[in-house]
Amino acid sequence: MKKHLQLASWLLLLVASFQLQAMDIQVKNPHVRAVPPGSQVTAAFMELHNHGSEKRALVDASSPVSAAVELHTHTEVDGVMQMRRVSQIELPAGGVARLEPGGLHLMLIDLHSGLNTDTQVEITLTLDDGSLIELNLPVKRVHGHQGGHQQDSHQHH
Amino acid sequence: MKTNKTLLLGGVAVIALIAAVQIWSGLNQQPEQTALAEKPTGAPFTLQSKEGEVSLSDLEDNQLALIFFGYTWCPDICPMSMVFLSRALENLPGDVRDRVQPIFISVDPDRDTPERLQAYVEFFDAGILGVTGDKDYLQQLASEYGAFYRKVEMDSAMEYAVDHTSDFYLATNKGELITTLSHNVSGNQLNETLTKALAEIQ
Ligand SMILES: [Cu+2]
Repeated sequence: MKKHLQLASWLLLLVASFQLQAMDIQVKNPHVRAVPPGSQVTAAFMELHNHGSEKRALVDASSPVSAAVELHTHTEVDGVMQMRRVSQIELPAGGVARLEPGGLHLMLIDLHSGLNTDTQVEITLTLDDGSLIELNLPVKRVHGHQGGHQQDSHQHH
Repeated sequence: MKTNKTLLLGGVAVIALIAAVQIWSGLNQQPEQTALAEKPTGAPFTLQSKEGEVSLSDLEDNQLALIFFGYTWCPDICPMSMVFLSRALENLPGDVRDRVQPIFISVDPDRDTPERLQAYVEFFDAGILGVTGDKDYLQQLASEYGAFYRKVEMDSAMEYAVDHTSDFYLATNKGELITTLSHNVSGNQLNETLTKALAEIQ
């Protein structure tokens, strides 16, 4: 009996530590850009805060709404915007990675259907330690007359 | 004698190797960016929209075109620019607004059919005309406005991306480029520029 208890507490500890690890990463303001009907691609944005003491990295992502989700970045070289795929997005210990318009983003490619602003998009993030973060992202139209509030209006231009 | 021959052969091999490396590195030099016209002056154009051919000369003499070169698979910069543009135009007084025709020129006719473009521009609700055309024609037109783009193969489900400048070009109905506005321009700056330019052609 005692042995069992010990085992159980060990397991509990193990589970707790895994959870702690995943909880070190806090996701803020995740959202998917609403795109015109018929669009094959869109981008997802968020802030990833690493409250842990170890650096982490986002290495992969997936979603049921598109054939592929890739990690991308934008850079401006001599006034030319270049979008490129990156193998990972660093999450420095105690730091934050910002996926935002004009820069790092998750690229959703080959959308299975149009994304309405009232739908939620499931995205699973994979970190370099193998842990997963499941997200439900609202689709936000960045422009709209019907009282739509622009989400990434902050100076982004 | 034998050693000499070996040495000689070795020497030839080394020289050949050096030459090969030089040629190879020469071939691998970054191609110069397509030379932009010294001072882009703009150009008249005729392109295809879903509704048929669209020419700059279709505009009235007191109207100006606000032109953007992009592609609809652009997930970010292009929609952001279109949102920015439509908001800036909304803030113009009605009579000024009516004299500006925004035009989205897709430089990716492989993916962007006129129908597809139409759905794309309608989304931004700013009366934007979505047009595209023949690849060579587009390349030439872009350079006349000082715009640059190139297709880039990517190890991605996208297969390729299009590197591109993302400026706005303000032009008359004769295709004369009045000014180029950086995509970093503020809404106020854009409005000021439009109002001033419109006053001049009134
Ligand atoms: Cu991308």
